[in-house]
Amino acid sequence: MTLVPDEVYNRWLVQKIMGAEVSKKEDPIFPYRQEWMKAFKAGDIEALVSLATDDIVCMSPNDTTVYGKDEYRAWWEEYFQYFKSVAYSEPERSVVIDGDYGTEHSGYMLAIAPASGGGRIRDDGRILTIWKRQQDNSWKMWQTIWNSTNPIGSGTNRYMSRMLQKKVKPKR
Amino acid sequence: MSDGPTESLNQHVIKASQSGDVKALVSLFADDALFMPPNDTNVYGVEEIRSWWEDYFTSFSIVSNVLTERDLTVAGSQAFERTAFTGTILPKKDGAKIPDEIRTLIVWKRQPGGNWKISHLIWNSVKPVGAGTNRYMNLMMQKKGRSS
Repeated sequence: MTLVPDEVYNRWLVQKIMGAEVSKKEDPIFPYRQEWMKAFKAGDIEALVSLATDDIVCMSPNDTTVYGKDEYRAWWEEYFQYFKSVAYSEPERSVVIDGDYGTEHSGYMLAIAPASGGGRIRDDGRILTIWKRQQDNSWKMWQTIWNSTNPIGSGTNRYMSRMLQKKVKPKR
Repeated sequence: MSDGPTESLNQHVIKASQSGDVKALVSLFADDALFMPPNDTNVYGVEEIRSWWEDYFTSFSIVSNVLTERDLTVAGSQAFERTAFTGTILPKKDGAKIPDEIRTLIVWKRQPGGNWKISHLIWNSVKPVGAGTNRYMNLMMQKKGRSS
């Protein structure tokens, strides 16, 4: 077997960089992703939920699947009881638009802090989101899933982080 | 709406993964596919995907894969397939079977000939951190077992 990761990666990167020039015009989802990032950083649940379709399916790692807007809201409410966002950026992004659907892949770098105190928790990962164009021409999240690129035992998974919080608590 | 990847294509994925048939698995992917396994770096393109599966099947065999949920939406030249399944893998060197519950999101792209190939594939586990079939975790566990 011949493996040429650098060559494959470089070709992919060039395509994406060249594509990014075009995507400013052809990436109608980008403003909505920016809104999402702003809402996440602010812990603004209503803004996050407003970007979701009624039938959103959200698949967060090590957690059950969330179906529909109400469950999605409840998920975020619980999340922000435990954590606040410290930093979030997406250094990598690709979008494919086909009719009323958009396939968005983004790589993320994230830091959150436990709401009850404690050190920052860093994570790197990627999100795959399918966006759906609405009747008013806006775009909403329809299906979304993510995972971490970091080794098991690191990262910002909420269950893991809760476990860490529990570990810290008895010392008080 | 037009015909998309069929149930039989999905069964092809399951069968190929259970038999460790790397060639059959790789044939499902578009040349520039993006493959995103948990706790691992992005895998770009069909050659890296082949290498990933070869590495995977050096360490594990997939014992079972039972589909529990499948939702397919075809939109133009793309199709979005969301699945959930229960699966079990077996470390090849030592260790017991490892069960997992997985969700996948697959984007299929219609090819010029009319067939469908995977352009994006990501998955994660429903199970708590430390459980499940992630290959790095299991490799670590195998190493622990060998050293003890």
